[in-house]
Amino acid sequence: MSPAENRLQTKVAEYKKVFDDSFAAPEQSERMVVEQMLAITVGSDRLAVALRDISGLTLAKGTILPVPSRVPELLGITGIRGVVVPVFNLAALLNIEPGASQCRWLILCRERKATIALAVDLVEGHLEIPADELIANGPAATANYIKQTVRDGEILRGVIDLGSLVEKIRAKGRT
Amino acid sequence: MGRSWTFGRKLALAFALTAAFSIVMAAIALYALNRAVASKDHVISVNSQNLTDAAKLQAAAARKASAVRGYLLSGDEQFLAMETTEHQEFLRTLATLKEHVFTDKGKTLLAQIERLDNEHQKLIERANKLRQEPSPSVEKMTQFMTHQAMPMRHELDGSIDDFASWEQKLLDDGRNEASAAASRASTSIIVMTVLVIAFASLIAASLSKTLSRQIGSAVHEVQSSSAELQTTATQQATGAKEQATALSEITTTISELLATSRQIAESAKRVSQISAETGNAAAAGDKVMRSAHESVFGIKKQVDLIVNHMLDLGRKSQQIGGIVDIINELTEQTNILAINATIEAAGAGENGRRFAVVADEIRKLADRVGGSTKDIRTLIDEIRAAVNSTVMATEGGTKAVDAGTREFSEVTSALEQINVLLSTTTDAAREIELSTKQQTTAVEQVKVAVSNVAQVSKEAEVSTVQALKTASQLADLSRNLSLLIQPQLNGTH
Repeated sequence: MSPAENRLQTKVAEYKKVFDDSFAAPEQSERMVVEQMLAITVGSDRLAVALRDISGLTLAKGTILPVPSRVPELLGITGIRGVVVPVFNLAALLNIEPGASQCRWLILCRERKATIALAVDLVEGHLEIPADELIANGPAATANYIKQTVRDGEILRGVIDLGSLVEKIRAKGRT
Repeated sequence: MGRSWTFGRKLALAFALTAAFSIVMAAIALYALNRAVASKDHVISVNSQNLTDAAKLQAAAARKASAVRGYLLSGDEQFLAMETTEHQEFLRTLATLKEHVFTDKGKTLLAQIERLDNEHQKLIERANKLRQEPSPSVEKMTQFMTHQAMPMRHELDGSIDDFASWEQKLLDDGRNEASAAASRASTSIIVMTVLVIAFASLIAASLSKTLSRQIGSAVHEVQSSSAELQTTATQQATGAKEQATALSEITTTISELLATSRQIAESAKRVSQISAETGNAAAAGDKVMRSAHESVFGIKKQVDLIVNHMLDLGRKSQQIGGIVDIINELTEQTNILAINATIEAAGAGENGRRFAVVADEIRKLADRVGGSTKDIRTLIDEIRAAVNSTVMATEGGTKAVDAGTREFSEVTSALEQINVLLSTTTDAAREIELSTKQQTTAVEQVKVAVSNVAQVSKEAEVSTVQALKTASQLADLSRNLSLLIQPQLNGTH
């Protein structure tokens, strides 16, 4: 058996074990407290958002119809599950240089009874970060709605405070 | 007489001319002698015989007249028979004369004699009848004989005498003519003899003058040549010494040449053997190349097959990539659903916790599938890259095989040419070997010949001295010969 085949067999066994262990693992209450996060890329920045701050995730497959607005970060409106949702450019909201690629992902946030969508370049994956590993940032970073930082392997990701950001959007909409 | 003629030819010509004149003279003498003999024979055989026959006629006529008289006088029958016999003899003689007489006058006289004899015979028969009467009258018979028979007989005798006189005259004329012919023949022979002697003397004088002049010239040339020969002999003596020395050097050189020829022959033999061995090796190489050519052709077919399979593999890997894209899309969608399920479960609070666990597992599973699809994608990309590299490599291999096939053909052709050239080289080497052997043999013969020549040269050196002496003797001899031929030139040469 070649080394590659050995490696594949090992990986199959590992996946099988992980899958089986998931049924053998204890209830969440008995496990340690973790923070569910979504790893994203905005422009050239590697960031993260907490799953508890968002209401959904979808691909930007529908048409985003530009509409006149006093908010320059508004890309337009689109339809998601029968609801018209405004779409904002997250990079513009965070004053980050936008990337070359088109925004494929829409992160849905609930703002009171309405829903808004934040367009991002890339959703890299799901992160489970133990709560005690969240690092609080200093006052300078707080201005950019990045109040915490998490370590994702070798990468340090800033955690976007979506509540403050949505509040800013709302404030811009009022003015 | 041409100056280029040899002495032998000149002498032969002179002899031939003298002999021709002698033959002409002999022919003329023979002709004259034959003419004289013919004249004599004619005189003897014709004229003398005619004269004799004329005498026989006279005798027969006389005996017949005598028999007539006897019968008339006696009446004896014996005289009558004699009379008949003599008359028949007369007629036979007359017939013989008619055959041998050719002159007109002779023929006229014979005709006259025959006519007179007939008339006289008739008168004789009448006289015989008078005598045979029972009482013959002597007077009557005398009268008849005197007046009729006798004149006729006298006339017949006169004619026979005239004929005899004519034949006598012819005999005398023939005798004189024969004597004149013999005299002319003698004169002709004498004249021809004088002419032949004069001509022979003329030829002898001319020949003597010519030969003296030419021999004198030749003697003069011999004298000049003798002097030159003396000079040449002296030079030859010197040259013979130098030649002997040079021949000695040539003998040494030929010995070296002989050794070199033997070495060349040995080398040519080795070249021939090596060329033959190389030819065998080239033939074996040709077989190997043909076998290799067939193998390369088989490889080319296999490579083409591999290229087709690799292209097929590339197409299949592209299809796998499409399926992987589907799986990736489904994984991404599953992940989205799992994340959304996690969000919904978090929103559900404590009630959604268990659902959150399942959603989390689904998300993890989707992550693992996504990781696997990435691995598959990587593998597929590697496979496609490998396939492309393999196809390119096999195409390069195909081109290399094509080039190799062409080069194999060229190499095979080159080997065939090498075989032909090696065959030619082998033949040439063998020819060189044979030629060199022949050359060696020839050089050996030349060596022997040169040795002989050297020996001859030494002998020639001795002979040249002898030739010098001989040339001096020849000069003296030519002077003596000149004195013998042209004494008047004694002081000039």
